[in-house]
Amino acid sequence: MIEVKNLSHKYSGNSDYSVKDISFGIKQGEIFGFLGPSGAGKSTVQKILTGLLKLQNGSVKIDGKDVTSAGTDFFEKIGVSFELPNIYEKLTGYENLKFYAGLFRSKTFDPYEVLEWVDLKDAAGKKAGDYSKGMKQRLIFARAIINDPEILFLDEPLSGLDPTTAQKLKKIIIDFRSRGKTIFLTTHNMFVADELCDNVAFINTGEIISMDSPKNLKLKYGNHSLKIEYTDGEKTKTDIFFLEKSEDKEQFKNIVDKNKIITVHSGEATLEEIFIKITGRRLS
Amino acid sequence: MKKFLSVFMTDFTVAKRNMFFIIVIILAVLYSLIVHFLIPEKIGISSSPLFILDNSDNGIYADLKVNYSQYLTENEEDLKKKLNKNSSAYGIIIYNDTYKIIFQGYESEKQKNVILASAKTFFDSLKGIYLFPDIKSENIGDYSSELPLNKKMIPILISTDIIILCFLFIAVMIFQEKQEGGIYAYRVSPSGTLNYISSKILVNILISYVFGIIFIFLSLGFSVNYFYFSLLIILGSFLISLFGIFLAQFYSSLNEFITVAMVFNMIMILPVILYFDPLMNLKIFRIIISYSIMLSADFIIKGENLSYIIKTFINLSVWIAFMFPLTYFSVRKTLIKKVIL
Repeated sequence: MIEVKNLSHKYSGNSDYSVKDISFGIKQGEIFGFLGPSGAGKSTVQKILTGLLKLQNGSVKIDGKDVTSAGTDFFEKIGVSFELPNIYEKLTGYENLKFYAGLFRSKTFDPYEVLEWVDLKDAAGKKAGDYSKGMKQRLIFARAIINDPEILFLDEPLSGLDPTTAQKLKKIIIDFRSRGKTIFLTTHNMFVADELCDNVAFINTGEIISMDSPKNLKLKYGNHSLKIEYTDGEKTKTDIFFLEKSEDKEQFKNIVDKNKIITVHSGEATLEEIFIKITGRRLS
Repeated sequence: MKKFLSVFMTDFTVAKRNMFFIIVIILAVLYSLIVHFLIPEKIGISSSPLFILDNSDNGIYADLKVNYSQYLTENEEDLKKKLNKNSSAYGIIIYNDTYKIIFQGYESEKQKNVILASAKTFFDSLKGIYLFPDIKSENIGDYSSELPLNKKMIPILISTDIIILCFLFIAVMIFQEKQEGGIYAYRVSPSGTLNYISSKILVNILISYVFGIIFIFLSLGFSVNYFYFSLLIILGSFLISLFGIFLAQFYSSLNEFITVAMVFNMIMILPVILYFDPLMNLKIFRIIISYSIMLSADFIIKGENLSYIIKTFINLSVWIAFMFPLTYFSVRKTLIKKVIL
């Protein structure tokens, strides 16, 4: 569905490349996560893919067509959610969706229905400028899906949302995937990526440093651990053991034999831990 | 059409909530009140009282005492006192073999010459000298008759307001969209540049039309040709909106744009000087589009010189035909395609 080859981009003639020679592919019906800290180049890539930034080097093909020739048909089938709020503040939430829906030739969702999905139906008649940050974020998300797009570009769609609302949006994203839609998701939130994405690419300083499914990345880079809580005399103690190490395995056996065990938890590395391990940099 | 209507409804609703329509309605009412009640129909030498002091030995002009007694003064002190009381008046002191005209001091050379010539004719008539009793006149320029001053202000108020409001309102719409970020969402929608430009222009024309028609109706009632006025307002605001979009696209905020807006508006206001005083040697101002809008409005009010009015419509249409594609391609390249970060 999306084929990116050797993509590079710089904002001005003398500056360093914001995106350096990156390549990836996204299949139809896949959620592809672009994971990286702020300034890594995630939004730049999304802007190139959506035609907002001119392609400088490399090639981008979406549904077999070059992005440089993107016209009305291309914009008919994509939905874009931006990181920063960009809505008409003087219009109500409903008007923002209704007028935007009118820009599409294809069938669109009923604005009230979409507002209900993102928990904004009660605020439909309120001016968008009076919305909270989280409400604006949801409205942008709602606008991105109003035309039931084939390809959905989401830039930090869940940032600033409370867990309950975030869960609702995640459900919508998963539902889109189940209907065969392709989703390009940029985020610095490892939990979002882990929960939603079929494949992720780690991007740091404009370069893709690793790319695979979250599961494979964890298998490749993560260590399995056991967290054990036990009583030692009158004291309660907690220790973590990595069973790949023989000394940890021996120590774990001794504790289990000699002490009363209160709890045992198995653990696996998170995507953030893997990212730190590869880049030495935190995601947020 | 569906796409255009959606963009139009967005722009129209934003303009309405920005109070643009309320602002122009208030201005139109205010201006009509000014025209009716504050600006006099006449000012200048034609309505200036003349005070006379006859200092000749035996009153050379006997007619003065009979026909102009209310303007006669007792002595020079009395004359100057009356002149000081009425700043638009001037005086004449008659001696045996000459007369002296006393001006206030602010009169232009042109006004002074007119008064001197009038005085000569006046005294000649008192003497019974009529060199050319039946003087005929003919106009060779665009100007035939003169409107009363308050009505003469209407074309100025219409043209300058359409120009200033149109130019600023469209810029505000563009900068608001840039600031709020709505333009980014628009760029990734399938609605193109043509809808973007056309919608904003149509909203701006509507705002100008509301202002123009209310102002003209309240000031002139049914005594003017509304078809010509409508055409003038529509074409004028269409062109100015194009200028506004074309220039505003290159700036990221109203603060940056304000200098350009001021220069543009100052240039557009310059022809007011020529409109008020066609004798001034400022023919270069005629090429500024606001001059022909102003003069056409003047002719529409007077109901004359249809050929000049039509010439203005053609002129505006040619300008629009030139500016529209230029604005379209530059907006497509700069505003719609480029990301301003």
